[in-house]
This record gives sequence, structure tokens and C-alpha cells, in this order.
Amino acid sequence: MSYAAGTKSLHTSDKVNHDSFASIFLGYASFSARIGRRLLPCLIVLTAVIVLRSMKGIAEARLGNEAFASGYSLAAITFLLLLLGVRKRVSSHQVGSVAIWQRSHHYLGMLCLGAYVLHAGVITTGWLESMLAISFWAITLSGLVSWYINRTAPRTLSTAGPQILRQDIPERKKQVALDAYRIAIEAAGRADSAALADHYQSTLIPFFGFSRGLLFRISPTGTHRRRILAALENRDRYLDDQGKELRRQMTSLVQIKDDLDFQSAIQNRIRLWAGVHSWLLGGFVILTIAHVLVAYQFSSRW
Amino acid sequence: MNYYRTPRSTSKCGKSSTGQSCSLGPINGKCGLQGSTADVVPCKPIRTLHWWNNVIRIAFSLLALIIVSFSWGNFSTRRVVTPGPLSLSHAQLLVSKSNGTEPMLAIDANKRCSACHPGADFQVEQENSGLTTATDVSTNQSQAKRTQSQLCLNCHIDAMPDARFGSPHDLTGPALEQLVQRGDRGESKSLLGRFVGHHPIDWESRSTECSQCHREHQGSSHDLQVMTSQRCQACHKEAFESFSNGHPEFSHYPDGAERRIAFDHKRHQDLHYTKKATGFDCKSCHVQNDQLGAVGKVFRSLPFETACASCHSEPLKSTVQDGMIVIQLPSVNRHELSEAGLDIGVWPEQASQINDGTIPIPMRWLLQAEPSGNTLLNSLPQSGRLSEVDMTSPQQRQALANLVGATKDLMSKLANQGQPGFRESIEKLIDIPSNVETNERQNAWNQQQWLDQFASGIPPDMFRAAMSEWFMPYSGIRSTTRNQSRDGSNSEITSQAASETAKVWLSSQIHSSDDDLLTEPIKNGIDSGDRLLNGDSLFDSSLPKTDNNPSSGPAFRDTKAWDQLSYGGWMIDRQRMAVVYVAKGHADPWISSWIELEKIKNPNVDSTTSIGSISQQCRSCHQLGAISRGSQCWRSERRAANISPITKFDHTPHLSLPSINDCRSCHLLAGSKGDKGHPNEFMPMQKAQCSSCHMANAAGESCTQCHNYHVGNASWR
Repeated sequence: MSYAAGTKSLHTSDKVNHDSFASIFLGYASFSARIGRRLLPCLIVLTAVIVLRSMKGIAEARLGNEAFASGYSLAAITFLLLLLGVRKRVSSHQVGSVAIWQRSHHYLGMLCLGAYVLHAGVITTGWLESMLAISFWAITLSGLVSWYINRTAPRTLSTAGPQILRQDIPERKKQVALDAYRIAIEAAGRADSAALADHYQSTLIPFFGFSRGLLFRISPTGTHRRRILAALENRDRYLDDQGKELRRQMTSLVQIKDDLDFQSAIQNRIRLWAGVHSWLLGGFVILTIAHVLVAYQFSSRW
Repeated sequence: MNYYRTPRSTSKCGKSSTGQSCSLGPINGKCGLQGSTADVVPCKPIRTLHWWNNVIRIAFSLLALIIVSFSWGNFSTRRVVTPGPLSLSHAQLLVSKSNGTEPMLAIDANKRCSACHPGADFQVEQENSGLTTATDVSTNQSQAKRTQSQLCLNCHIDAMPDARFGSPHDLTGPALEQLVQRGDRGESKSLLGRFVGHHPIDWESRSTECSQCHREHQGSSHDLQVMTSQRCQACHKEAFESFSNGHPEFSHYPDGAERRIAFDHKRHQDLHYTKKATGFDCKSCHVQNDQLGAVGKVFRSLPFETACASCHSEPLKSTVQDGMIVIQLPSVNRHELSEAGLDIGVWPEQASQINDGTIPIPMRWLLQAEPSGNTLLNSLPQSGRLSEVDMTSPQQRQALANLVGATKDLMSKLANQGQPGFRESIEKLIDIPSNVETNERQNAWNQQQWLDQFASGIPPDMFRAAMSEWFMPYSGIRSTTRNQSRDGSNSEITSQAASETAKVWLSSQIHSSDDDLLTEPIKNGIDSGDRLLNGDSLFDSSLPKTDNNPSSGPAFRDTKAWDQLSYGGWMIDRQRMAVVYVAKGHADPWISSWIELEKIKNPNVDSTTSIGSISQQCRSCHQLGAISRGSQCWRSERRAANISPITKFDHTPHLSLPSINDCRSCHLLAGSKGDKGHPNEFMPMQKAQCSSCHMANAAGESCTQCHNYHVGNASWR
């Protein structure tokens, strides 16, 4: 290694070190901020649960019915959770961004879980209480799954090319299919590229023309994509240079189609769990009202 | 904005999945191109995910609504609403009959919830509860709206009768107010008064519910009686952190209240036990390991025979061996009376010499019960000593003569009427209201029992024998010219006929018509020819025949109480001319009755005016000052097991600890009762003695460990 090269190398090394220190510092600061952003609401939620527990104790100490105290606290938190849906439906008066509402919804959900355990415990008996509990746990668990998917989906989608709205995906798929069809027609017009057209006709038409199977929609993987791409590369020995160029274009379209399928599956998953999270809401509200009425009917009045 | 980007659309183009959707999109669920002139085939719109979400949401809501609607009327009959398993004691009430066994307490399956929850019967509001064997404490309210607590009392009313008030601590408003006011008097502030706020509170309007403290549906292992200290402090405003930190001192316990048994612990420990060189062990008297009482196995006292007799039986015996004179013939100066023209008639010579003696208290009271008894006794010296009678006063002379007549009448009454006559006299001495109130009827009934028991101690034959002995052999009427009977009639008698007259008089005084077998020997005096009596060792033929005993048979040796009546009973004291009752020892019922009578006649009587040394001896230990009537006043006050005071204590677990198993580790003697500077016999209990163990992480310090909520029988007073 020459001196100059060594000097350059040293300079490069200094720069790298400088950058690494900065990145470490910035990364640490970012990490700290991220932890702070997440830790603070968690502490607030924890404090709120302690406050609820104290309220229950205060009601108990005042010879009141602590079940009503914790029950109404739970109802109030549930009402606040429902406000996210209202915010999404009201577009004329937008108070805060949906992201803030969404985050608040998540932490309120954690608080709601604590309030529910304080109020009813983990296991309940009786038909009405059991149905109410099942509804609550179903909504809570679906919310947790939905929250997890919402947290992980953007990173997953970023690995599958540019993000496309779910509504635009069918049109894009159609465009990709047409482009593949044109390449196949062009390949069919040349003797040294006919093998690509044959392969398109025998294997790629279903891939481009139809939706993916249920298994891929539930758990999208790259297995089928790798198999198709390997088969396409195997056609190179039957193709001349122009035919190979067409094969590379076809390969690119296969990757685009697979990415679109992947994005469609992930976005459908998000929508599905968001739907599940809301399916039981109406029944839960009705059962809650019935529960409150029965509680008043059965409780001793003082 | 493209319609596809609107997330709340209920339908989308039917060709959207193929990427061939048009820009118009569906309108009202139909293809936008339908009916247009454009050469395009209209699509069949398909439902969006949003639409399906709404459908599923509505379906679940309807399902919930249907379930609630169908089960609304069946909440009380099925396990629709079960907020949690019942406690063990209540869960057994719901035992189904279908398991083959008949439960003792069965609840109608249709009323399994409404047995406790008044609002649970949705179909028939407020009918009778389902408890088939319950006592309906509010029969009049059976159809009316009842509270949950009233349903609780269907079963628990017997254990807590005062709980029906629904007031704090089961005390009625005025009683509770009284308790609080008692605590508001500054220095004498009670424990409860310290806790409760000093602001005027309308206790009448305050009501409590059972469920405020007793939380059901917490599981079979849940103890319904567990109550947190915070709940106590809902009303007891003077909150404190813990028992060791903030709880008031026990400055008033033990209080110096009078006890029924005046046992001087300090004197016994320092003087008597020291003299005897015997260890003073509290447990030898107060602990009974084979019994359990309200405060454990510790009792305030044991029976006299167990705890006291070893030292006190002999002194007591020597005190009572002379007996209690019930009737004594007053000794009068017959000569002076005769000179004053007053003839006392048949009267023993032995009691006819001088004015002497004192009218015994029992005899005085029995005379008071006679029609002119009070007048007679008021005419005599108030001291009762006959030696103080002023014989120069005609009134006193006449009173003395009347006393002789009244004594004979009294003897005659006891001999003839026996126990009913005695009972009648005693009954006249005490005032029994005829129109007693309901709560007094029990006392009145007890009083009748007391009179019966009192009268049962009278032996009529003893008085007949005394009369026979004192009056039958009488020969001392010498030359009386005028015999003034108590009814005022005068008659002339001769000395020659004196003995015969005495027999006739005695015969007239002791009725013989009822039972000749009984009265014949009396009329004839003691028959010296009786073979049975001849062989009796009581006859002492060595004794000389006196003028008073002119019969030809052998004379009796005088009865000596300490010799012949070692175990108590009746005797005729020939020297004192008295009928004497010798007590059987400690707790003699007849002597007790006299002392009780004394107390009833004059509740403020002191020992100096009592019926004698026996009474003084009794009162030296038995404090009857605060007791009205009844034999219970003699016994040490034991707390009944069913009484639930505000503060409770169980000695048993404490005595098992070696460090405090000596009573004196907590109950420190201050001094002899009544000593200067020692108003109480024991030093006040110190809170530190308890708080050294009773803390949160040790023996516990919750309020209910030492305090009862349900105060029974107002024993807290």
C-alpha cells in the first residue's frame, strides 16, 4: 500500500471514526428519545392504574361500592377508546393527527386492560358476564394483534418496493400482466426466443393473471417467487442475447408482481384485524349496558 | 378524489379486481355506467371490506341484543348473572334438591337470586323471598319493597336482633348519639368519641347496609367477616395511620367501676399471701383451662369453695356459729307493767324480769308487716333497746305491753300459717307494682320466685315447739287481776287456774282442728312417757327439773349451735329465748334472702344498720351497692357469651406465649382499692404493651381484631 493510499486510508479512517462517533451519539440520542417516548406513556398508564386502584380503595374506605367505582372508570376509558373511531369518521373538524389519536388509543387500551382486571378479575362466571368478558378479551386481543401488525407492517412493506395503496394494486397488477404479455408476444415472434414464450404460456400466465393462494395471503413468502425466477434463468440456454434481454425484463415483471402480491397480503392483513377489532364493539356496548342495568338491579342501594 | 380512495364506500366496481375499473364507480350500489349510452358493458358492483365490517358488527350487536332480551326475565332462575362464586356459608343454601338429598335450607330454584337480591325478581317484583325456612322479620312488608339487608336478616335476625335498625353498630340513633356525646365531653372523651367527628351529625338518618362491609361473590374461600380498617374510618373520622401510630391510649381501662366481689388483689398479694408464705399466682383463680368464656379461658372469679374457702371458711364459720336471731321474746318488767295495770298474759318468767334486750332486725321487719306494727315500733325507742323504755311514760308502758302481745301474735302466725304467713309478711315489706310494664314482668316474676324461695326456709314446727316450750309450762301468772288481750277485751283470771289458762290460751293460739296428730303433743306438752323420746340421747335425765320445766319427763339439754348445729339449721335458744337460724356456711340461701331483703327495703343501707354481723361479713366481700334485686347480685359478673361489646379480647392466644403468660405482665397492680392515689386497683393498660406485637407484619393491627361492629345487648355502656 502506497503512502498516499495509506494517507487516504487514514483520512478515510478518521472520517469513518468521526462519522461513527456521531452516528453512535445520534443513535444513542435517538434511542434515548425513542425509549423516552415509549417509557413516559407507559409510566403514565402505570400511574393511572395505580390511581384507579386507589380510587377503588377510596370507595371501599367510604363504605361505597368499589365495583361501581371501578366499573364506571372502565366505562369512561372505554368511551375514550371509542373516540378514535369518531375521529376517523369526522373529517371536517380534525383535532390532532390520527397518529396521535392512534397512539393515545393504544395506551388507553393498556389502561383499559388494567381497569378491567381491577374491576372483574381475569376469570368471570355467569352467562352475561362471560359473554361480556369474551367480548372484551376478543376486542383487546384483536387490538393487540392489530397494534403489532401496524407496528411491523411498514418495515415489512418497505422491503417490497415502493408502497402502493391497496386500492391501486389491482390496476398495477393488470399493467404488469399486460407488460408480461407483450414481452411474451415479442419473444414468440423470434425463433431464438420462443422458449421464453413457451414458458410464459405454460407457467407465468397463472402467476400474472390470477390472485395468489390463501396460504400466501395469510403468510406471504418468497418461495414461489424464487422457484419462478430459477425456472426463468434456466431458459437462458435456449435464448440468444436478445432473448436473454427479454427474459431479464420478464424476470423484473415477476418480481414486481410478487411485490404487489406481498403488499396486497400485508395490507389486507392490516384491514382484516382492524375489522375484527371493531366487529364485537356493538355487542360489547349492548352487553355493557345490560351489565350496568343488572348491577343496579341486583345491588344493594345505599 | 378518486372514489376508490374513500375507505367508507360500501361497494366498488365489479371490475376492480381485474384492474379494469372505470373512473365513475358504483352509484347507490349500482354500476355508474348502467343506462349510459357509452359502448361499455356495465359491471356488477361488489361489496367493500368496510361494508362487510359493518354487516358483521351489526350481526354481533343483534346477537348480543337477542341474548340479553331472551335472558332478561330469567336472571333469577338461571345462572345468567353470576358475579362470582358465593361464600361457603351461603353457597350451601343453593344446594340443588336434584342430587337426591334434601337440603336443610332449600331455596326455590325460581328465586335463587331474589332470596338475597330484592331487585332480582324481574317478573314478580318483591315477592316473598325464596328461603323456605327463613323467619320473615318483616311480614308486613312481604309484599312491599324490601331492602337487601332486610333479606339478610331473614336468617340472621336471631343472632343480631338489633341489626334490624340498620343503624351504625346496630345502635339506635339516640343511643349512638349518646355514645358520641359521651365522647365529646372533653376529658372523659371515649374511644369512639375520639374517632367520630365532632360536627353535629344526624345519626337518625344514617343507615347502613350489610353489603357495605360483607362482600359476597368473592369465592368460597372468602371470609365474609373480614373488614378492612379503612372501612371503619369511613365514619371514624379521626384517622390514624396504624394501631401503633395514632391509636388512642387505653387511659380508661380498666375503669375503677365497682365489682360485685370486692377482692383486694394488692392486699392479698402483699399481706395475706406473704404471711402464709404462699405464692400469689393469678392463674390459680382466674384461669380455667377446661372452659372457654367470652375472653378466652380466663374468668374473673372462681366459686368460693375453690378459690376462697381454704382461708375464709373457718372465719366465716366462727362468725355465723351464733346464728341469726329471727324471733326473740322481749324481756319486760312484768311487775312494773302489772302495777301500771297492764297484764301481758301468758309470758315466760325468764322474760318477765326486767326490760332488756333488743328487738332483732328480722323480727322488727316482720312486726312492721303487721297492721299496727309500724305504730308500735315507732312508740318504742328508735334504738330498739328495751332497756331505754321509759316506764314512767304510760305510752311507752302500753307499747311495751303491746310488743309482748305482738310477739305472741307473730309467733302464733308463724306457727299456724307457716310459710304462707311468712311470705305474706315479707311481701308486704317490699313494694311490687301491680301494673308492671312489659320489660318489668320478668323482674316481677323473678320476685315471686324469690319470695317463694325465701318462705321455703321457714319451719312452722320450730315455732310451734318454741311456743310449747315457752308458754305451755308457764306457771308464773301470780295474782294478775286483769288480763288485757291485744284486742282490748279484759278478763279476770285466777292464779289457781293459771296453768290451765295457759294451756287453753296456747290451745287457742295453735289451731288443732286441722291436724290433731300434729297439735296433740304440743297441747299436752312434751310427753315424757313417750317411749321413743325416752330413748333419745337428747334427753338429759341428769338435769334438774326446774319451775319452767315442771313436766315429769327428762329435760332436754340446751342446743348449742357450735356443737349440735355445725352444718346449720334452726334452733330454739333457751337462754336468749329466741328462735335462731344458724347459717349453713357460705352462700346460705336463707341468710342471703334476708340481706337481699335488707337491700330491697333500703338500697342505701350501710353495714352498720344491717341485720347483724353476718350481713357485715357477707358485705365485706359482696358489693351489693349497685344491685337491685335478685340472687344474681351475689355472683361475680360474668360476661355472657352472646354479648358482643365494642372491644373484644381473647386471652387464650396471649397466654400461650411464654413471655406474657403471667397475668401481671399486662395487669399491673397499682395499690389497694380505695387507697389514696390509687383510684383503680390496676394500672391503666398501656397501648405499647399491645403494639409491640400487634403491628402490620406481626400479629396484625386491623380494627376488627379487637373491635366488634355488631354491638349486642348494649353491653358497651
